[in-house]
Amino acid sequence: MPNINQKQEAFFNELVKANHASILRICRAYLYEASQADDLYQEILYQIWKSIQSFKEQAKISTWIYRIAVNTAINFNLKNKRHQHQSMPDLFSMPYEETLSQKQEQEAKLDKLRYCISQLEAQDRLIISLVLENKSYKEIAEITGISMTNTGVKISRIKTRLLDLMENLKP
Amino acid sequence: MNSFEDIQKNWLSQPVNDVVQPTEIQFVQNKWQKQQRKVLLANLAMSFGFLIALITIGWVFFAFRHQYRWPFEVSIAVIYCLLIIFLIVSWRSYGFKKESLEVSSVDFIHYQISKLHWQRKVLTTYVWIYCVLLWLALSLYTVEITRRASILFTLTALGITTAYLTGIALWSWFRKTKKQLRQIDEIIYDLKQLHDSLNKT
Repeated sequence: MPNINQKQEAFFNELVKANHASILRICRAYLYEASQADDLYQEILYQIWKSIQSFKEQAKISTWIYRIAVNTAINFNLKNKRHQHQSMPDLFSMPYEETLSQKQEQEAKLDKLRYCISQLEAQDRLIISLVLENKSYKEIAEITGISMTNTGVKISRIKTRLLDLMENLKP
Repeated sequence: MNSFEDIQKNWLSQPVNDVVQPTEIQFVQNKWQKQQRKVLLANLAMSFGFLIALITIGWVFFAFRHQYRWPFEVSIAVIYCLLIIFLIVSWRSYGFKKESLEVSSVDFIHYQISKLHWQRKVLTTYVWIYCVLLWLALSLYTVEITRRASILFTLTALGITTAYLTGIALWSWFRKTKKQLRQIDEIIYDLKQLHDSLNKT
């Protein structure tokens, strides 16, 4: 019969397997620097492992995981304030985009998007990372603790700001 | 990319490893085990230190109480109480290390702010009350046990005790506490800003 540790390990593996891509994308949206995003990802996995014993069956797994991810990101940012990105990267400033392969082009677009996200306020980066993960307004309100109405207003404002940044940042 | 839907599609299509690396799980488990070992060792060391201190003070009390008057008993009782209060404060601070990350961000920020206010209160108020009470208890003890000696000897003993406690308190304030308070204030400010901007429409 599996003991508690084995059960916990199996549950953790299952959770990570199902959510690691979303968690990693949230980290990349929140922190522009890839190495910082990777550190945050490891920290989130660690916090999930630590909190797994207090997980209540009646709670919705995705809300539980995203709350841990978002709160860990808040903590991480407070401890690493120096890591805020300011300068514009060279990667997407490539003059001959038409000659690039599709993969490189997509990577350049993604980098531009990541850079634009990094220009948003910290709390807006967290919210937009959840929107990009296709979370509903209700779920985002539950994860952040903001009222539904306020969530809607914020998301619409952040989307507009992000589209503006994308539009105005020419490669 | 013209619309938000395009942005989202591009975002979700970014390459992310489909397979979780076993090293990631291993890393988490190793970190957890190391942390647990550290907490256990720290708790054991603290408990052992307290046990030794309580036994020693208890032995002094029972071995010499018949030789001295009430100030001796009062000073020992105060030192005992201070040790127990220190233990309670240490455990409360330890309890705060367990973060409740599964609550909403607004609640999490509230919790962090209250935790930092508690740390601030400990550093700015309780530590000083503790020092003054400890100084009073030690002074009472010194005066009582040097009762039969000359006044100069008693005053010298009192002077050394006072200088030692003041020195430790001031060293700690200028070397550690001021920096800690600055960091705490900065984090409280950032958390309040974050809280306000989350609640602002």
